[in-house]
Amino acid sequence: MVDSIQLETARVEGMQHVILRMLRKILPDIPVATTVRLEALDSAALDDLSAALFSFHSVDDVEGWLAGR
Amino acid sequence: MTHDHIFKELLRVFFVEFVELFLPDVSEYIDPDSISFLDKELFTDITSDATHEVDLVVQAKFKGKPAFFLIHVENQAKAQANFPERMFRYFARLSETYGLPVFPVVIFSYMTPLSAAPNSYEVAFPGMTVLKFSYRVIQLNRLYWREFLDQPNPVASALMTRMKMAAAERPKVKMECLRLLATLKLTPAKSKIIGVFIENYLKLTAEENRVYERDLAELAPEEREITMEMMTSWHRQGRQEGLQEGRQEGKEDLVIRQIRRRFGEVTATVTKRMDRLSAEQLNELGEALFDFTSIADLEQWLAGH
Repeated sequence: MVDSIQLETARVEGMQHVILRMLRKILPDIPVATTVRLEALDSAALDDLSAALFSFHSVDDVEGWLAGR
Repeated sequence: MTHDHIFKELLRVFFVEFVELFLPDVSEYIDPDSISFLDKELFTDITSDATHEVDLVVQAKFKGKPAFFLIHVENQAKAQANFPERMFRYFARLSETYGLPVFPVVIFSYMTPLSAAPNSYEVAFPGMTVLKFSYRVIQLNRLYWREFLDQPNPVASALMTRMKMAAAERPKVKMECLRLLATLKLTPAKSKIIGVFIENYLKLTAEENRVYERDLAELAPEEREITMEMMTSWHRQGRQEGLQEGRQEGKEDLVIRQIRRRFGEVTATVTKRMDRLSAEQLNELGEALFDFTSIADLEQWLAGH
């Protein structure tokens, strides 16, 4: 009923939800324009991002990380 | 889900309907609102055979009386020589543990042998019967499915799949099970439980499936429509459940990897606790990670959620 592509999409969505909440917690002012860019990331990229999360101190750090990909 | 689980879920969700259909005498005196299921983990040590658990133990109240009793339902998928004795042992242990009267029931769901299974266990000496223990037997392969067709009961539509039928009738039985189920107009979640049961217990060959599809197409348009609609709703529901599970998995994976990176390997106890968190709780745990300085903080957080 659910094929493997749909399942992977759902998994990535789940990962995005958590990362988004974590980003908003440390950077409450993060613009939507930045967060929508997360939607383009696959599960490996999201994993990298989640490793980098703890070193972010500003929206610029997030932008910089995204630009470096 | 294994066959055993599917059977158990059927009995749990439709226990009142099961009693109405197969234990009409009990349904006279049972208070249907009083039914509760006793935790199966309590009975794992009920016999020396550690691999077997008692299937289902229900506590119920007698109608209009402040007195309780137990119903023990055992599902046997195989004929077994020492079964009567085992049934007695379960009875004795339940009676000892709960101090309540026990009504023992067995459902034999195997296809063969067709001969009647015993419904008692005796301990006797020459000239002296010490014990005659009786239990209720529901031997499905000795019941004829056609006799249940006019029963507006979801348990009938499921268990018909295990009743006596000619080989050539198999596709027909499946169709009739689904048709009966569709007329009951259960919620999609409930009708799906029966649907899963039917799919698993009456698996058709490709050839039988063609007959089944043809029979389905020959139903009156209105009947065909509600039957098909019901089946589509299961697929829709299955899809949503699948996607939700996927999202949950993604969240859990991400949070666990974060924890590993920060605090090293996590214990099985911790991952087990995380399995029980809701989607929103996983989001909250992600946010809380920033405040944790050690694995102890995580354990404390988990204990509080």
